[in-house]
Amino acid sequence: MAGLDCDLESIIVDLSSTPLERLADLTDDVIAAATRCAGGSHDASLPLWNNDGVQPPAYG
Amino acid sequence: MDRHRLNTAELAAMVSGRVGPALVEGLRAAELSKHQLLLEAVRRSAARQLPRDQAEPIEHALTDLADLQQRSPVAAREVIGRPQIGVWAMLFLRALRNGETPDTGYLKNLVRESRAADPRGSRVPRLEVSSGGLTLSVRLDDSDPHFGIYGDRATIDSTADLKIWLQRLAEAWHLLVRHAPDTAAAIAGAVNTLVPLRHGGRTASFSATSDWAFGAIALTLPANALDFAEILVHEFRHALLGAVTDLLPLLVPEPSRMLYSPWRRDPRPAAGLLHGAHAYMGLLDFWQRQGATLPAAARFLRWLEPTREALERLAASGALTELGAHLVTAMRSQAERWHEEPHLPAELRDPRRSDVARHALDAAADHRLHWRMRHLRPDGAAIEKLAEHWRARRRPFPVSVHLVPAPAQRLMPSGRSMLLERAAGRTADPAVEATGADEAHLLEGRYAAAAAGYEVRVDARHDPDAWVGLALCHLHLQPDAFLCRQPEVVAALHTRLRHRGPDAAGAPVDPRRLSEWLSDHRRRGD
Repeated sequence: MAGLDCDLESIIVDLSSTPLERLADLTDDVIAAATRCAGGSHDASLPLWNNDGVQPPAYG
Repeated sequence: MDRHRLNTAELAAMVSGRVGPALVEGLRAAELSKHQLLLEAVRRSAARQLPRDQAEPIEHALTDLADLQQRSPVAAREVIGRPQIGVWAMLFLRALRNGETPDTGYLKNLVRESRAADPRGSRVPRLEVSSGGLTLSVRLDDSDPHFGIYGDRATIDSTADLKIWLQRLAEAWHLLVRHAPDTAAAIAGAVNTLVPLRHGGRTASFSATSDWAFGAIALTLPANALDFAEILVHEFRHALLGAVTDLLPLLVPEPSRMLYSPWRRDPRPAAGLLHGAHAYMGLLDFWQRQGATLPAAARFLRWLEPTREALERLAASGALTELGAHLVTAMRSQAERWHEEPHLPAELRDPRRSDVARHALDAAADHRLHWRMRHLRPDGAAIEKLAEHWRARRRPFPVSVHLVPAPAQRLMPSGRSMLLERAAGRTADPAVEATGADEAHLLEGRYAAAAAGYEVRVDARHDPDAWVGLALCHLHLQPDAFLCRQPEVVAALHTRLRHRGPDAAGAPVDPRRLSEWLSDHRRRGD
């Protein structure tokens, strides 16, 4: 990290001005970033942050 | 192609409790890009893995969505940005991966419904509340199948149901805008869906957020406006941190060791502590801005110190990336400022003069001590040897303890824990009643009397809850007692001595004497 006030580039491409039909042009690795985020893959159960220490699935 | 970017100074401000509109807008835009990527991932996976007739509904739905985007980019963004899109896409991809049948018709129905529906005639009611020029507009969605991830949903099937949700949300919104208008504005910019849940036998309110459903908050109907406002702040902060971790890693990939979390009764990974601390930094900010008003001041006192301690454990965990460490440092600095420059009068903060402060201290200690008694197990051979040293009047030695997570069914809070939380949070929970004289003494601050009662209980049988009560009393009677630091060691040794017979003189083993004896190795600098 360069400093205390800097911009960091993320793993997600900015598609704010990309029409849906152009998504077919993206490479698989760019697409895969979306399924890897949130700290896990879609193999894992969906992370659920909750305020209850007993109720599974408990992740918060 | 450009990637979404995050500014570290804005992130540091966010984690410390205050979130700016530019950051929320940036995170919302990034979540929209994530959903677009997920839709394309679904399309590709369906085309590759499903028979043509099953993949077609996905292609058709995306064609319809693309048409909508051409005619009305705003309407298309609204559909793509819906929180259930993320959940559906992830469940779809997971089903394909596991060889199960994915829900191929869902997207087409959602797009068709959104194109056709007059918002006033939609099956999903919308709650809209305004205060001080700020409006929150959310769907109250009790029917989307993919929101089943949160648990059993409450059905909103009458005008009366809708009215009570609207009324309570309006009161909460008023409170939030009045005390924390910037937080309210940020919530209005990000939260678009509430998922009503059934209480399902819970005595306390329940709320949840999923990292795959940015913008949605699931919750049971809160009991009052403050609880509702707190849930909005709390869950919004989970959603914010989830969106940040979608973009940049805050934790190293290796699984972390399990840690004590003051918000949960089970041992937690570093990710859990990070989320808990981040949520509570927002709540502390909200309570702090309400000054000495109760119950906000009581809740601030209840949670400041446990949050500070959790941040210290996180900082020392070795689980953080460089950015994660930077953000934890920012949170620690803010928590330190709240600690060093208290906004509450001294008489309210002093546990010897204020029931509010005393109950805050006791509820926090009760939670920590319970966690130790439930999940930490002293080394058995060392306890056996320690018992021999005790009987032979030799010096004690340090005993190592191991984390052995207790099963979920043993994690229910004790009656005393619930009483203390109710007293500390100034909540009204009719299901909680004093269960015995010990609890009544303890709540009233008669610690010597309470301790005598707990000593009788620990003498009679193995009673972890009584050990916690006894240790809690000693926090006031003799704060440096070994029992307050490691009750699990004193309890294990006491149990061992009880089973093997008392001391040579035949007297029962006094827990206080055991605790003093165990302190001995520390005093001598061993």
